[in-house]
Amino acid sequence: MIVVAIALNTFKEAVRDKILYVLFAFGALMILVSRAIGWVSYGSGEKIMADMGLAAIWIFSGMVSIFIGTGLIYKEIDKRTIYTILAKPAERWQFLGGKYLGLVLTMLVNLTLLSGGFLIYLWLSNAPVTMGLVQALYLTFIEMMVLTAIAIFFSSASTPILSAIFTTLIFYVGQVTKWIVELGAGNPPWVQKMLYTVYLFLPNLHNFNIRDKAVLATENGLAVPYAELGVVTVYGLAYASAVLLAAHLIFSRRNF
Amino acid sequence: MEQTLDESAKAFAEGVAYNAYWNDLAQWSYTAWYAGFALGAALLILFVVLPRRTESVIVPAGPKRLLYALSSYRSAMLHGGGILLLVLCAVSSQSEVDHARGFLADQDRRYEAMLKKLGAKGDKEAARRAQYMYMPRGNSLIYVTAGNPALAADYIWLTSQQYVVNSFRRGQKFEMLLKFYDTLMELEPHWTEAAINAGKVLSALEQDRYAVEKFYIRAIVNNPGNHRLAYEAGRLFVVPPLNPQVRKDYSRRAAGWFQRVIDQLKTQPTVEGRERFISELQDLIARLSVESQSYEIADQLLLKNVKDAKNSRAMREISARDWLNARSLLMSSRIQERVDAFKAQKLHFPLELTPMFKAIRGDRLFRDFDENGIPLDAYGFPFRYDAVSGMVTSHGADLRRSIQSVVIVRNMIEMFQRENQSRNPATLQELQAWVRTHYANPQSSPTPAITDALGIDLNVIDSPFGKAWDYDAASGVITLPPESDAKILFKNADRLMDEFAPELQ
Amino acid sequence: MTYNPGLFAKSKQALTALDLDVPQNTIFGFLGHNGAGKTSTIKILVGLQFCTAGQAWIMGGDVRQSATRKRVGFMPENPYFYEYLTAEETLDFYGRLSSMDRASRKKRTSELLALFSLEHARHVPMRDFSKGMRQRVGLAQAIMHHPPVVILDEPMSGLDPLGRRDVRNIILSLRDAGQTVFFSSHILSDVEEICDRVCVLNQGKKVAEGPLSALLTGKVLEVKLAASGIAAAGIPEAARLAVRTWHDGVLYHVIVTTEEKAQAVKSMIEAAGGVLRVMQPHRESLEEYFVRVTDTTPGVASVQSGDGFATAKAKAPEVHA
Repeated sequence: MIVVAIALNTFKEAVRDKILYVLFAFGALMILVSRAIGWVSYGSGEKIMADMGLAAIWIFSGMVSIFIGTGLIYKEIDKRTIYTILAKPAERWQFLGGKYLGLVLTMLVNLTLLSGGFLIYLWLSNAPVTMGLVQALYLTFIEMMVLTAIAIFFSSASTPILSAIFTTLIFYVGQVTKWIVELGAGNPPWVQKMLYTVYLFLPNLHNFNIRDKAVLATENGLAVPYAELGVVTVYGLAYASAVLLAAHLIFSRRNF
Repeated sequence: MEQTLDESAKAFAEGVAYNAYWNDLAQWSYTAWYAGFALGAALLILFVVLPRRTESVIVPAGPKRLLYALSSYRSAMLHGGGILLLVLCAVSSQSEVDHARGFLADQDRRYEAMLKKLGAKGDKEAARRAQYMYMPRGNSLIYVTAGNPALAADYIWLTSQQYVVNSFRRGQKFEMLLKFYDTLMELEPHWTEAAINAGKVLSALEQDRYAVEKFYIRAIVNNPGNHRLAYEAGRLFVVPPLNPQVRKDYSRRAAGWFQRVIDQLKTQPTVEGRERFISELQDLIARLSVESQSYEIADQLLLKNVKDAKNSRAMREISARDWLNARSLLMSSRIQERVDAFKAQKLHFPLELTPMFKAIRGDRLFRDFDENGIPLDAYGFPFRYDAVSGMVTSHGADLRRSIQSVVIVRNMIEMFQRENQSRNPATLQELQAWVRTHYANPQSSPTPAITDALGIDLNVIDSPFGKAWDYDAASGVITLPPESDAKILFKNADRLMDEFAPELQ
Repeated sequence: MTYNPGLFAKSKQALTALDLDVPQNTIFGFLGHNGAGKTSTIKILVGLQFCTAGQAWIMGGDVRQSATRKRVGFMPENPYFYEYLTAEETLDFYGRLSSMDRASRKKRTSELLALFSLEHARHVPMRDFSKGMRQRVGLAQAIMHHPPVVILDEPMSGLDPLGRRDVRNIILSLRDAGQTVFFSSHILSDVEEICDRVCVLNQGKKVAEGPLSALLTGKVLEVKLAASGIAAAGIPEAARLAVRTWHDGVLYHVIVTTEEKAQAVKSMIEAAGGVLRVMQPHRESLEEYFVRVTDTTPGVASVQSGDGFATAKAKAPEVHA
């Protein structure tokens, strides 16, 4: 499979990127430190530890997505390695898809290692380890799939710095779109309708944030019912696919 | 194709209907969604139908010409149609997620519903109080934390702890910390552990229990199923207040909260120790009711528990025994009322209770009478009356109290023995002197259990049933009167169980 | 294969109405100045760029279809590879992109590594490769999947004479195996040696095309004669016919413009009692042809610019789309 070949190659390339290790180290550090901070608290030390750990994993996975993803396509073009690849019978969508999957694979490995370490650390510190935490980490992975797609979209269209800026902006705005909608209250209806439309089309990354529910999970340790998890996954995959399709639209017409 | 359209349309319409705040908005977008779906589908169909541009340069004539011309846009159609459909899919998933989790604006509606439920449960006053307490969610922190209010809450919690111990604004610590905790609850309404700890801190700082109760009520409104919050709210009022006027109100409130705790616990699956906890609470409720002299409440509660078939056998038996106590106290309070009325009229206490008994003859409370027609208490013992002090007490209740008090006195004797080379106190007076000296030291003040049993003056000589304890100096043993034996004392409890819980006998 | 790209509407370069036909099983040379549009043409052929008008087919397949590229092998100018892959891994990767199965990939990789004398560098990562080695790997990946058409952009650039000879031999062997080779180059001597046909591009326009033998008509530009035994004064009739004559003390040199004149001079020398030592006709070389052909295009002042963009900007607007 051509897509698989390119994906594996991308994975090898990403794994050699130093920034991955720097970010991973920071994430691990934050997880380790969280225990000390939780220890200081009067009660609820485990909640603070879990909160910080989940937030660390989320933030650093996001940064991996942004930093590595935005440079990906640009590096190929800049280094001209793309010429020999596109001249092959491979289709352009296979190239794009392979890049995306390779990055997702990198993300998966990164997330699994951090999450595994985090859960083991929690268990060693006698903090509760529930299925809800796993659910929250799973949705963080889906969120990263969407973010990576957006990073690749910008990467295939512009320079790394601009791509990084745009992707980071969307990463932030995507967290608070729900509240932005409510800014419209008190304004004329057309403003409200417009805000609502914009809300629907911007990625609502807050959908993937069930971390607060996961940490305070009570009934049978689940943060959300599995059905809701499924719906959110569908949202994530649909949105990521739409973005990749748009990236392909631009990429397939591009002259090298 | 038709079926899936219907299903997704239905799901979408349901999500739309729920979203009250954006109702008219959503109807408009409902049409737009359908239009978008149609357009996307049309584009994809065209993509499939149109012929591929082949190597042939020959332009076909006639009707095929149009198709040929359009076929150069195939790629655009595939991408456009694909993107449109995928985005619409994302949009409807989003609406479904919103349906499940709700918009913040729906908080208002849900809060109203919660208040109604709280009011319906009986504590209308708590509901009314809660209504004034509700503050709308502050959104500013949401932007700073990029949609992660949990982290902000953690930070506030950690910061607030510093303010508890330092000397900053010492006189206004309560208000300041209350602000912190209110923000905390806004950010993380379901963080009950913090709410409980916050309440403990607040109650340590502030004498006004009602202010702290308000805080708990807010937390309970957000977490109605959490019994620990209600328990803490109840415990606020267990400590007797300095002001005797409000003691009755305190006890009543505490009893109300604990009852709520029991009701909630009963709906939850059984865990180890739950039965014991519930029975402890019932004890507490009964005692509080008695303390606040709401004997009727205690009486009703305990009888209800005996009759409730859902309760376990142990709980019903315990409730039956407690009911005997409550009923007896109720009865003696009735008689006491007559005595006091007599005193008010005749300016002296009656010499004996016989005229009182005549007056209460119709009262349905009194069911048992001895061979002389004198009413007996619920235990089946007569009432005792001291003409000098005018005090009416139930002998059975006194005996019951003495069973609990004697444990304390026996502990005192053991402590005496340990500190006096295993020597028994010669008399109860010697023990009394020793006890008073021992607890005079401010560093070892008596626990509430001890003061409850022995009174503020730590009286180890007099027993609750009027006489002195029967103490044998040689053996160091206190003997209780024979009718304190459980079989005799609680025989009426067995009768009660026969009456209301025949299936268990 | 046929090729017919029209205007190519990017502000930098334009190819105007280039009509090209490359027959199968030939070695086709593609010549032009820097910035004439050679690389653009090649990129259009392999699908890296898109022409705004016109079509191109390779072996009957439209170049815009990816299936066409199954029959094409491409090597860009100064090929770049993933630095961390070894030579073996690189070839294997490109083999996968051409949908070759594992067995044939392994076999072909070994074959190519041997063919290009890269056996010793099989497990060396690309970052440690020299320029010549990279060039060879580039060529190897182009022919990895036995494509019937091989397109090379400056395959000999940066190579030492030995390397160039190796590449020339490989190209020849490809042609012998029945493949078609289309390559662009600056090194006219190599082109002259191996190409069957050439095309010359100047500022986006085709200015010459045809079999080498046809273009280099063999027209004699001048004939050099040198004779011994002639007096220092020379032969006056010869001097009248010739462009230049001189006597270096040993030989009398005459340079004439046609073969007939050379024959005449020869007779004169023999008549004068001299012995003809050298009679060398100088036919037009490819380089001379090239310079001639590109120089006569109107509107071109300088031939030396390295950047087509600069040239185009300074020249007539017909170059822009």
